[in-house]
Amino acid sequence: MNQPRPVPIKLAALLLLWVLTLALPASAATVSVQAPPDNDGLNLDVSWTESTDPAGWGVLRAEAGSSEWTLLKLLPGDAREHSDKVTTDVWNHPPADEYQYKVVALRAPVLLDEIEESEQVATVLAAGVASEPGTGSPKGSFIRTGLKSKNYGPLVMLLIILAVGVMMQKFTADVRAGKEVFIRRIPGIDAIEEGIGRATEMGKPILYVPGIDELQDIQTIASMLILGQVAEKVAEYQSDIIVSCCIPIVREVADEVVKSGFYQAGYPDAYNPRNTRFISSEQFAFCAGTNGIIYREQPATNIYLGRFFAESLILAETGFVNKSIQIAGTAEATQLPFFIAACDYTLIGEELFAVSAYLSKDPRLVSSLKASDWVKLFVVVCLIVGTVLTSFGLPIINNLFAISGG
Amino acid sequence: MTGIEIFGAWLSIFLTVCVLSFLYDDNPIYKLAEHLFLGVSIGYGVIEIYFGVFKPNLLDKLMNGELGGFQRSLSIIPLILIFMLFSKLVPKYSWLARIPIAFIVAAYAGVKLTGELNANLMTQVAQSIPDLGAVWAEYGFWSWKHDGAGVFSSLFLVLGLSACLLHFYFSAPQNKAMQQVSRFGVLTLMLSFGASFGYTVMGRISLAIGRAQEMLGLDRLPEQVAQIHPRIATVVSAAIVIAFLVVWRRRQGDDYTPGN
Repeated sequence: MNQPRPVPIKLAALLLLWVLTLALPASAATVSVQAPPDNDGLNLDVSWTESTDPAGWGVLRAEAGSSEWTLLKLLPGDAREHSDKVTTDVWNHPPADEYQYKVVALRAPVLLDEIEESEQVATVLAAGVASEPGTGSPKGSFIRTGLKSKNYGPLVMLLIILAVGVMMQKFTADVRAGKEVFIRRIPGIDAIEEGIGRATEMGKPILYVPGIDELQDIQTIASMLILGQVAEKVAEYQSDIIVSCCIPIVREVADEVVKSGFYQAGYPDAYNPRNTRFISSEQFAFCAGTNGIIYREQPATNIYLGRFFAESLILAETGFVNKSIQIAGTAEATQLPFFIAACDYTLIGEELFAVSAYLSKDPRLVSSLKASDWVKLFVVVCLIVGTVLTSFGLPIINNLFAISGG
Repeated sequence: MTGIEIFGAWLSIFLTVCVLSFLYDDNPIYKLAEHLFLGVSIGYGVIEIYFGVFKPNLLDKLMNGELGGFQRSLSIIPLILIFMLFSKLVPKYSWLARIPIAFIVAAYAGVKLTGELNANLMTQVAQSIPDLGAVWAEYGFWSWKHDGAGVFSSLFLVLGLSACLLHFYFSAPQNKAMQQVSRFGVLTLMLSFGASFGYTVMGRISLAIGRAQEMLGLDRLPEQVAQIHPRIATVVSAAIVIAFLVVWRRRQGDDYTPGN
């Protein structure tokens, strides 16, 4: 469904001529608007009646009481209905409670894009308007969407956040009190230590790539937590680690994290800031630079953990050609196939977030992992129960999770 | 076309051939293309950030006399944070750089909390619960006409998604039943990855075709081709690169080791 686009100047001309049509003899044409049953409340079906087909129809919408009409869609002359989605972004453009619609007949068919692109075409459209009498009820039709009364989504979201917070507090207290928390073994995590050991034996460095997204991305944050553990292990093994960064701020944080890892291991002098490198903010330039490192410095182990995009296969393929052990992990579903194909071990999705908890056993990280497990269980129950209920005509769970109401 | 545009087209073809020379080996002409790409991207990034972010969001606001004193003072805060980042250059005060970094992470964590939850949990759950009755009425058990839509696909969605979620349940040991569920989850993931792999490989082939089209002049209007002569540019570029590789290889003599 197209997002309604305002076309103020052209629309003003269009409306002016439409107003002129009101002086024409009224016809039996009527416009009616209905909200489809069991919908999310954002879709409204506009339909109208007219015995003869004009060259085309224009459907316009305004909020109730407003004179700012927006041209939504141009339709062929034989059309008699249009389904309108009042907004596609309920956060930034929340829907109104009531809308009014107009349907105008056009003398010549035109395209919506043409109206916006060319003044000349817009003039043709304006001249074409109002040729047909009976363009619908001038007052339009009103419909109450009833969004406010059904919008439980934010409340459910708040409850989930609070529940996770409470669970984290409880699990953290449990872990600190000495309660054992089981974390399932993940093969890719064990491989990280093996990879560091292999690099040490071969006398070659380890390459760590924390993805190409900004620092605030959750995957980059998870990657930084893992980098701290990896750097500590590297320092213990007296090996070298090269960190290749795509974002300047990430480079600064990675630098601090690696330094801290070397301090934690008791080898602050072994830390070399030149090995934490900013390559380029441009995706493929970064990829080319990192490939250069893989090809020329020949790291024995490549660790790719974070958010990756199209460069994932290029990096992993170069590492494969270089015969490095490769461990990758990302929650970016579209890139996982490439890592699975070209790397020795791949951490899939959530496993990336489990790594830091698994390696460090930090009470806060472990409690976060356990709380997220409970959320997953909750979602599974909601999915299955929701499907059964919805199929019997009770879309309760859908409505609870729908942010836009419904 | 202007002279600079024609030069740009030739340079583009030449650099493409330079990059393709990597198929022979890592060589200076490939490194030239690589370093040029890196340097240009960094330079472009700096200019883009200055004119797109730094100037309109900070400098212009500080210099704008129409803004009130309070609004101007607010604009000084990011300026101070920027200077704090530069304190990394002075080891003694490098700890100051942690403040703006912490500010960035904390602010975005707060801002993105609800957005992430909305996009990755609420909306996903709401849209993954099918109305099997309505699906049956519209598509039946399986509809070839609608790309396999139907009750089977809807049930597979719910069960596959549930199994995937349970596969990622880390804080409990897996008993036999859970292992089977987990295996089904992995199977679902691999099916999805396989489809995604094939789709993206097609995209990459399309990119390679795009470069080939540019080198052969198939992506331009005939009048542009008549001015640029892309095929001549390709042949000339290939000749230069091959000649260079021959000279470079001979100079290396017996010291040459492929891959180094």
